[in-house]
Amino acid sequence: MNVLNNPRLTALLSLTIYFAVVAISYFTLDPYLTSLIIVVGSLFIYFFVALSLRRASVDAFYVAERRVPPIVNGAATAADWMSAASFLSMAGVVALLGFDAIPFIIGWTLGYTLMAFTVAPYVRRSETYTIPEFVEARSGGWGVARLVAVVMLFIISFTYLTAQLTGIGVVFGRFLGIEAAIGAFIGVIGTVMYSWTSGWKSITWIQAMQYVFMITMYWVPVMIAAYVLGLFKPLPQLAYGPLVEEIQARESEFGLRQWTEPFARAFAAGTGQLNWIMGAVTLMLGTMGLPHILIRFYTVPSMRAARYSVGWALLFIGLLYVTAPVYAAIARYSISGLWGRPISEVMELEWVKKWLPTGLIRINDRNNDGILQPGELTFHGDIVVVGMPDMFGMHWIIAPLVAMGGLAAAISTADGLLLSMSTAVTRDIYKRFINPRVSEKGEVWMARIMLWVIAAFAAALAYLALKDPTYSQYVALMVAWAFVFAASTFTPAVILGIFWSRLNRYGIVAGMIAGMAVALPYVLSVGVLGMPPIEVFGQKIGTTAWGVVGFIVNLVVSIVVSLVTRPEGKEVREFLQKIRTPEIK
Amino acid sequence: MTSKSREEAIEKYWKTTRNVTLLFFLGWLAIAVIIPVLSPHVFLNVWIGNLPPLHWFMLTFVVITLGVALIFIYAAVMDRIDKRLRHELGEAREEVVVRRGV
Repeated sequence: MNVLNNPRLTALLSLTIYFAVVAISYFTLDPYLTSLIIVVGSLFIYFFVALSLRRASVDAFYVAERRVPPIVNGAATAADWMSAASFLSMAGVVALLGFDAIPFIIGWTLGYTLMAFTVAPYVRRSETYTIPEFVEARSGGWGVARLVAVVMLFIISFTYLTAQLTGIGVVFGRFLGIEAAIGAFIGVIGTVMYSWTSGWKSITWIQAMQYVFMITMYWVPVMIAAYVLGLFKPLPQLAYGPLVEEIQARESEFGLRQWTEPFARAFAAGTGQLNWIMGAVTLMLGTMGLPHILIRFYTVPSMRAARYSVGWALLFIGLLYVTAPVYAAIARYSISGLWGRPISEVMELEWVKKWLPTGLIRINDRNNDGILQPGELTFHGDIVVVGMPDMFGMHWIIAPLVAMGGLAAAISTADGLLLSMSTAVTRDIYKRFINPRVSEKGEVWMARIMLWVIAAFAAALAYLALKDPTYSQYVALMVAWAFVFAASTFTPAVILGIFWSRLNRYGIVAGMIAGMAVALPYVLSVGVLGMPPIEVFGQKIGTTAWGVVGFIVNLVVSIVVSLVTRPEGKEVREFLQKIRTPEIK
Repeated sequence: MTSKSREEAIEKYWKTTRNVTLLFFLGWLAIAVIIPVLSPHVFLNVWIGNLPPLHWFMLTFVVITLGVALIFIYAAVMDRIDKRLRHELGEAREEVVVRRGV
């Protein structure tokens, strides 16, 4: 029997071999080589499982044969969703910005709740294969709408993908001591290696597996640290209040603003509560319009499965998001514990010695008094997750395991983005406009080739980003911008398209173009060129918050243009009736 | 089943679905916008047991939990509405069979 024809057996065997090799290397090799095996070896598990799932049908490649159980799709969606930004950086941002970073926590979760009621089941019921195809079907088969949707999809997904590949480069670089740009190339090759065998079919099951790795590796260090600090009363997420109290007492002692004080710091180049809530709402609305997330709901068997699948997805995502503040509190507690101590003593701490050369923490005795003041110790947000094992003197093997989880987070998002773009080029451009009579086999091969081509482009961009520090400072912001663009284009088009029958093709296209025309210049002028943001009631509206404006402009333009042009005919009425009715045998 | 009664059943289903969606949208609005806006004012520095301050905890734990619960409640409500539609369409089909038999 060929093992590679049985996905379950392949997964089991790959995992067994992986853990056996890691165990042998642990006892025979040095920590560096063992770390390398832990991180790079995980790519081989994904590769062999993907081989066992290989298929050559468009149904497998585009929509995983629409047979994925809701709970598996939920885990896959969570992995597709949570990138290096969620895994490595979010807890750090919370540690640094305190209350003002909460838009990331609520913004990157509660969009799913709205998505479950308004988008996911209907997109599934449409039985289309891509979001541009959905847009075309809703526009009565008007190709222009599909083309515009493909352009929007590329702007959103490419922005996001470049940031992901840069994140992969940083993870590899930091943990393996290789150049980040080379790390990005290894990451992209690893991603394509397991995506090309059968597209969404292979990545769905692998993403579900990556979710398990990711959440385990995220929880292990923080739970150990929480145990050391006595936070299991009954769970750290419900018992870190005394830690926060202690942090804030130290802050008061040094005359600093408190960590949980609302609206004390800037969020995404803006200030005040208006910017704060608009930023959160943009991230929620953007979630609902990200093509690589929407496409996940095509893979389940029914509308009903799509609804439950969103619930599982948010539950799995929530497990990480409610833990990030605990990470942040523990890291802030550890770092603030150094304030007021002699610098010579602090410099002798093992974790400080290890992380000082990386630049993730910096110590500068400005007043030359030999005592560490809060302003003399700065830290990069990424130290919170990657540095926690060292802060609590955990065994060295925990750090590469966290790196393996971080890599799973980054590549499980990169593969979804790559596939949503390659399927858009193949199905929405090549098959729709260039070669409609292409065979099924030819279509799948075209999708595989496009996967490599787009991956190469994205890797080249990530390489430039990592080489040029001026460019790389925008990379973190790019993730948030993808949400601004999605909220300004697809989200209103899809919601109106489902719930408002009068919306027509001209309204859809005009709305998406207007939304992007409002979002893009603001993001570029404020985010890149450094122009001052608009002020409303004395509060600066940052680039992320601006997504709400793009969303509203899209809505208004779509409605006005639809009302002054002719309504859609029978084809759209039938499409609407279909997507609004559950499958009836 | 006549196509008219089928159309009517589907029309009624969509009307109910829209109302349910509106209701859950309001629920979402409460947890995703209203609580986050009010929380830093209403719950500022309220401490209960070992929990972090309430204005922080509401947003980093409670609303996410409510968000998950809301989806599963919605899915369960829609299950009932779907079942009713299937029942109505199934019943109507049975009536046609009986009539044809007569």
